[in-house]
Amino acid sequence: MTDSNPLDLLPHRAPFVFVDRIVELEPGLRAVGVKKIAADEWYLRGHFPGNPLVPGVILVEALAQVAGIALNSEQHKVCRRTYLSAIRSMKFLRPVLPDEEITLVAQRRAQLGNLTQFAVAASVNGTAAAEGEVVLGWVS
Amino acid sequence: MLSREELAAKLKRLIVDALMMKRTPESIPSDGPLFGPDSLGLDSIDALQLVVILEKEFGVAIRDAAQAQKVFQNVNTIADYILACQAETTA
Repeated sequence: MTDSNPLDLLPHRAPFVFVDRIVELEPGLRAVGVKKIAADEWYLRGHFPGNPLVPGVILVEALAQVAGIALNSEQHKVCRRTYLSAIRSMKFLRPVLPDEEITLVAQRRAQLGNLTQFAVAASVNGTAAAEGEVVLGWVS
Repeated sequence: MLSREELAAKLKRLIVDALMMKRTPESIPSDGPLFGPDSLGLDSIDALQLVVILEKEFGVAIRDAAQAQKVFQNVNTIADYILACQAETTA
């Protein structure tokens, strides 16, 4: 892990950063991040009233952002702009509640041209919450 | 080791399953183009999935986009590439 903050490798900024910190990083190959969604986030008021659950799309975005950090950490390609190009598969295996610490793992599976596929998984206290595969595309 | 025809049939099944195509494996011509005009209609994200399939199912790697362009012309060219890699490994 470098001295610089891996989150700076993301083009995203508040309020659209869904990773609190990166705890493991193998440049270009793998990243592990953590995120806690605060109970007072505006979207939890409606998802769902009286029964707040972290939306699946937020989990997907968080996983894609961790994958983006893994991708952009390769050879310090900080200037690359990365985009979510495909969600090949995604399963949601357990509801995630506000204030639970979510562990987010992205592992590179394949690369071709400017597209990279990652196997991604989210878990809470060691229990799988979501898993799937996403494709990130990038332009210099 | 599978014959070229058996390998082509297996590839067609894998392509239909992995790319969630609404057609039967048998309807894919072995020598029909996979990309471009009058083809099966695959795109660059599908090509990346083909790379994953080859690695996972056959232990065969595609090193870059230029090689992918050559190998992914049609089902037969993929089968030939797998057979060539397998022959190299067993030689």
